[in-house]
Amino acid sequence: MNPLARAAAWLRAENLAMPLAALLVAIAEIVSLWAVWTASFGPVRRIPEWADLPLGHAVMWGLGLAGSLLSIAGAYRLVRRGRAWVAAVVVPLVCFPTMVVGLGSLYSSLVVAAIL
Amino acid sequence: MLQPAQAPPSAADGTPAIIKSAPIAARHAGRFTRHTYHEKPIAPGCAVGSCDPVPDRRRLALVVTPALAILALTLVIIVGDRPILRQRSLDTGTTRAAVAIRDHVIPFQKWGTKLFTLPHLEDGYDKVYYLTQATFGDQRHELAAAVEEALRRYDEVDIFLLAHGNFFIDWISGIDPALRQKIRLVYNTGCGNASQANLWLAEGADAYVGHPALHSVSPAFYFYFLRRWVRGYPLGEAVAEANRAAARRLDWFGQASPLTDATAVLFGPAELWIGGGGGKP
Repeated sequence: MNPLARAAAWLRAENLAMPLAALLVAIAEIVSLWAVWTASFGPVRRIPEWADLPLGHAVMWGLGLAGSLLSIAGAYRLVRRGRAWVAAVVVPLVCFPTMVVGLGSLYSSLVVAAIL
Repeated sequence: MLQPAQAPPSAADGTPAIIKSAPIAARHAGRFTRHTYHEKPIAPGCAVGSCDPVPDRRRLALVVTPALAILALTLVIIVGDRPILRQRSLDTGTTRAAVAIRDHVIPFQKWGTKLFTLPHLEDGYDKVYYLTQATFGDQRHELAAAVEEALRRYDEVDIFLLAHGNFFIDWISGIDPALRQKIRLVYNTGCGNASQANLWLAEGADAYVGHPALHSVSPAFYFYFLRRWVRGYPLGEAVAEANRAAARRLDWFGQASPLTDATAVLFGPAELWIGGGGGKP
């Protein structure tokens, strides 16, 4: 079995695939937001002005929702079926922070968009 | 060692009820076959690849996971702000415009200010003029033109100066004094710019909100203030609540000091609100 497939199998077996995916989504969200604000207000404007807000909110909504769902589902699976010590480490150190980032960006987008 | 194709013993052998059915036993056998890096059989109720018994903690998961999600959301709301509901209808029969300008800062701050400010202003005003400086001293003509056009076309005009210590007042001094009387609220984030209150009131503004601290963390105040102002809070109440909320957060994060104090001071009628007149005859 090649190392990548072996690692994927191990992640799946230990119920760590979704927490890792949630972490990657949170990182992707930060990188995407950085790309948006650099493209809009960096030294050279690369996107039209009208796109400043929709792009930012699209990232916050899309990746925020994905991160929230993955972190919640990941925490559920780990607590339910994972090894106790793995769950005790990964849930507070990965699932909860990514939950805060994901739900936070969803909530912020709602607040920023003045819906609430 | 248990062979991959070997099915677990039957229930008659005393195994737990969870693997009573043949399909489940077959699935376990199949999973074991795929994950041969642990050459151990999967015991009933175990995680794949481990022979340590892992019970199905369904009830615990059903309690812990929603609790964590609620805790995460609560944390976000506590650190941020609660939802602010509209206090009253803004449909008062008068037309109003807002002019906002952001100074030349790092791209993140320009973008963040726009992302937060513009939707709120668009929610509370008939027309919004939003400007961002690309260099120091940029947008001088545009600011004066935007304020003048707003004053000509709308009944009330509010100005939001989202900038470090500034003298934008000089940029609009060329506008007809009679027109300037329609300026209603001026909010200025500039450090120490509370000192400009008398100048702005003399220029025609009904109310002025500014920060006295020399290194004021004004964005902390502005975040809470704008959300309440566009939701119809009276100006005095919006300023007071925003002052309290900002001071609390600065205190939590160890940023509270007389120098960085985010407190804003209101000069003008406390009962003024976004839908209401400035009290001029």
